[in-house]
Amino acid sequence: MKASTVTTPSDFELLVRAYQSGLWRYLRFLGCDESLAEDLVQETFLAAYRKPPAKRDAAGVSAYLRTIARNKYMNATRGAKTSSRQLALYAAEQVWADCAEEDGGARYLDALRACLKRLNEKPKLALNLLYKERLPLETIAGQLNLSAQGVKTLLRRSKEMLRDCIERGLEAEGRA
Amino acid sequence: MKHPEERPDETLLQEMKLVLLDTALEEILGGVKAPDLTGHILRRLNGAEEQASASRPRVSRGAAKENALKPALLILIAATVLIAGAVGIVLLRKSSVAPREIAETPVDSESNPHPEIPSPEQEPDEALRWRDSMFVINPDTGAESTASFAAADLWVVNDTPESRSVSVGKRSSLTMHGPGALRLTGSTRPRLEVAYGNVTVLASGQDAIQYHCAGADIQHTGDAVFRLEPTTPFEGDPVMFKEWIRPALTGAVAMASAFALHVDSGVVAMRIAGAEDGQVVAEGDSAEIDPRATAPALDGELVNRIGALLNVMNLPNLEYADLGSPEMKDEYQLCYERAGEAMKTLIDMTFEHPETRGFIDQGLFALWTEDRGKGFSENSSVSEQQNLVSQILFRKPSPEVMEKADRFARDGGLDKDMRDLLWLGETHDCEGAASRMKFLIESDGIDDPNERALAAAFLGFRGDSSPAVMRVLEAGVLSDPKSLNETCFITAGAALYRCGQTSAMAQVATILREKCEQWKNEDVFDYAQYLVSCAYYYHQLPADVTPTIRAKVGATEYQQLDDWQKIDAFLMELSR
Repeated sequence: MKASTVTTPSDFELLVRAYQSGLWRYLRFLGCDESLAEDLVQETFLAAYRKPPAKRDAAGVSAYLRTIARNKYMNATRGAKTSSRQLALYAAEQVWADCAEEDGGARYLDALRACLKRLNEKPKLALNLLYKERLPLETIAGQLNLSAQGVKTLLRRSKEMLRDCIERGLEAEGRA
Repeated sequence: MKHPEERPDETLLQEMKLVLLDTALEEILGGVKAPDLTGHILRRLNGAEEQASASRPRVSRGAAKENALKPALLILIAATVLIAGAVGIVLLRKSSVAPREIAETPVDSESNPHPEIPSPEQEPDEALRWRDSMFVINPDTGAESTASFAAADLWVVNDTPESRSVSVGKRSSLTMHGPGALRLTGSTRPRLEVAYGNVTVLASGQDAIQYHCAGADIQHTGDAVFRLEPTTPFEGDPVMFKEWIRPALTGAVAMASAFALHVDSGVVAMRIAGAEDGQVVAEGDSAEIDPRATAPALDGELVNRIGALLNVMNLPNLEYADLGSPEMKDEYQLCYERAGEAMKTLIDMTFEHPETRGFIDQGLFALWTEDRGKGFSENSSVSEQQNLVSQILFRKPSPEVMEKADRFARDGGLDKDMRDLLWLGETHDCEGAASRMKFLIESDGIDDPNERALAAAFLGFRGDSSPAVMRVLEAGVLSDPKSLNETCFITAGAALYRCGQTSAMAQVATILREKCEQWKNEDVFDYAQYLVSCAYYYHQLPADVTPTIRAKVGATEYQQLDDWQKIDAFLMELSR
């Protein structure tokens, strides 16, 4: 969505359709569970309807919605330590802006899919057992014939490889 | 988003990228897909328009469930609405108020003193937005009688005929003689300090508003109205709440997790960790619960008591609430009692169910880690159970618990989070923790450079100047200072100093001086002061340095130096 002019409900619907996935993903990234992310996405759009964004370009609208969502998230989870949390949120915002701002993370997901294909069998299996099967570490360790610590290390390394692979993929795409 | 005073380092950014990856993996592999909420949102929007006269904005499913659990919060809201009404009246009397501009934004005395503050004729939702976020602060808790704020845009309204002093930044102050309004805006975050007494502070902006009250730093996000009123001091002060009750609740959560309490839609299912066919992972304050765990239930009474513990967690977020109002006093008291009861229950359980003690210990570590034992006031009128809790958990762990802690740390049970090890070592002089840290230092087993430096500093302060410890400290401070954050940097530097590497302090001082200059320019005073305090007090440098500074400038003159000048003198001395 190139621009946003929230003047009528139909405009608003377009806005919701264009940005809701990215916003939900962003909230999940900040630490919301699925249900809270859903709630906060709704709250964010309702707030944006009451007070539409001043900037109408896609980046401006996206940043505006993220700001509302972030504040609502912080309100919903008040209580954590403040300075470190603020720092973490700032870092999260920076990472999101670098990796997923343009399209709400769609390209990032594509890059991840491509990188997953390149992963060796063992780390791929470990990731599947963890994220798809949702098995505890000990069980994964049993299946892979590793210690629990070994699985942790394997997962950590796999994720670091994926992170680097995605970054390279996004950069290459950006250059192209 | 305005960046915080401390910038995230590369390590944190890389960690955040891993978090983003984790979220994406859940979506791709775990099938956790972004839902289409368009219908929900439009229905809610239509509902809101149809009910334009409704006095409450609609709330989400989650929020509605939460509110149902928090009737006391409704009382609070009702109270704040009444108070907000009073503020509205104050604002409506603006024509008699002569606003004084103290920042670059001019103030029009004929207009609403705050463009964002709604008049009663405006949309109810908009008015409620302010009312819902109004807090009454009673800063008069004895030693301090001020509250300070930092926010993007602040209004101070004095609606009394008396004079009120307002400090802006650290050096200038203004007095409002009688009714008036001040607005503080600007590209730099205005810092405001208000002497208490019928002063209203209106703060707006998307950024977090921080306020400091009676020794506690509190943060609120979004628009808010703060009312400072000199009512009778509340006997349980906010510091007590923030530093004792809050961590106690956090600890209770961790312990409940350690007991594998699974809470789902209000149904409390209790399972004993480690039961035959159940599997529970409890790791400090990040305890994870496997909902598939099955285990025999405990007896009904105990389950009820644990249920009470969970109720504690459902209490309103008092940290941000009005601790001075009678309603909140009751709520606070309730919270206090329940927290004490919850702790007592858990302690009892260690005796009633010896098989759970291992998990209790892990819960205790979480509690210790969260609390760090600093907030408990010896002079408070604590009840017997609070005393019990404080003695057992905060001050004097029993020899049995300490023995377990020592063994647990020594065996590597706390390797996951260095904070646990460090805290256990620093606070309880735990040999097991020190021994484990030494092992990890020698085997290069700590990945994070900051944690590595802190562990080495801890050992250094214990007098360990072995090559491995010195190598880590020197690598952090001298070879690659950018790898450490400020706190770890100064801690490691001070440890080097304590170990006799005095030349390293010159470099520490030079870097600190640069940073202080930078902070000074940004008016981020507290952090620099914290760092210097850290060096002064925590690392016991005053015995070496302060008398020298005093002798140089003269005792009387030293007293007259402002804080910055003291910092300068301190750093100058360190640089020699």
